[in-house]
Amino acid sequence: MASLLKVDALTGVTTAGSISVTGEGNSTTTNLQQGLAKAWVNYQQNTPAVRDSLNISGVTDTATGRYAVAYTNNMNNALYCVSCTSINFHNHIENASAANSEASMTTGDCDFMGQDSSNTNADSALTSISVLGDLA
Amino acid sequence: MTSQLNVDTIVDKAGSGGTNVKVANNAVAVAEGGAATTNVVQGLAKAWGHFEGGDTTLDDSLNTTSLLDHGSGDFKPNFGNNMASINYAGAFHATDTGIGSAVAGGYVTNGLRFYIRTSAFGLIDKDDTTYIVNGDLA
Repeated sequence: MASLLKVDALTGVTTAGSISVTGEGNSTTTNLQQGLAKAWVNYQQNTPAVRDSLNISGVTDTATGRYAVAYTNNMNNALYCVSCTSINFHNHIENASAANSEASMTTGDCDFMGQDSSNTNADSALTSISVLGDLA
Repeated sequence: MTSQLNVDTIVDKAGSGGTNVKVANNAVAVAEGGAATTNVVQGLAKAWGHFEGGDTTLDDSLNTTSLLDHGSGDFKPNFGNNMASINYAGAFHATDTGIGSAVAGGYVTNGLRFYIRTSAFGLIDKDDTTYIVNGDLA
């Protein structure tokens, strides 16, 4: 008989923020918390609007083709993983200085830059961003 | 009454694995840092896939019933279970110079049409093309 467990919060016993789940192959385990996307957003930049999101407190349009995505709950460090795509554009994590810098990727937000086929900064009609990593 | 389950490992009732475990859509997990919580269902990838750009065979996938090849560098994975709206997040990449590029009108509830482009913005079929979808299922 199938069982149904109703619960509002999942908390690890040994470590509150670490629960292992048996993988599809039935042999290894994978970490539940680390496998979850910690933030995602569907964003319209040419007429700024957050269409839908998870753990996003806001998106700031800082300049043409440049925008800052802020998290509601911060990441644990600045070494997380982001993926970004948009319509017909190249996307980059923005360089904050002349040298390649991680300053545009912080625990609280990440700055992005979109460029058109001429490598000129431009606003996209649709941008998708997903964030994987550890929450604080 | 609010309930809290303390557990180290989740498996199905038979104890054979985790593939049959169901989690309600309002469940949260304590985050890695032990302070914040994050919604389990909203954090799960709702679809993903891996294929070679030259054919329509999915090497591996989640929640994808078929792959439409609209031409060189132009693909649409079809979802088994639809998304709740067109406002989800999708990311797509491929090997070498393959750059993922969204298609205007390509975000639909039953699939995601996207391009793989060269650095000169031409459409191209590339090996190891991948996509990931985050958002809400219908």
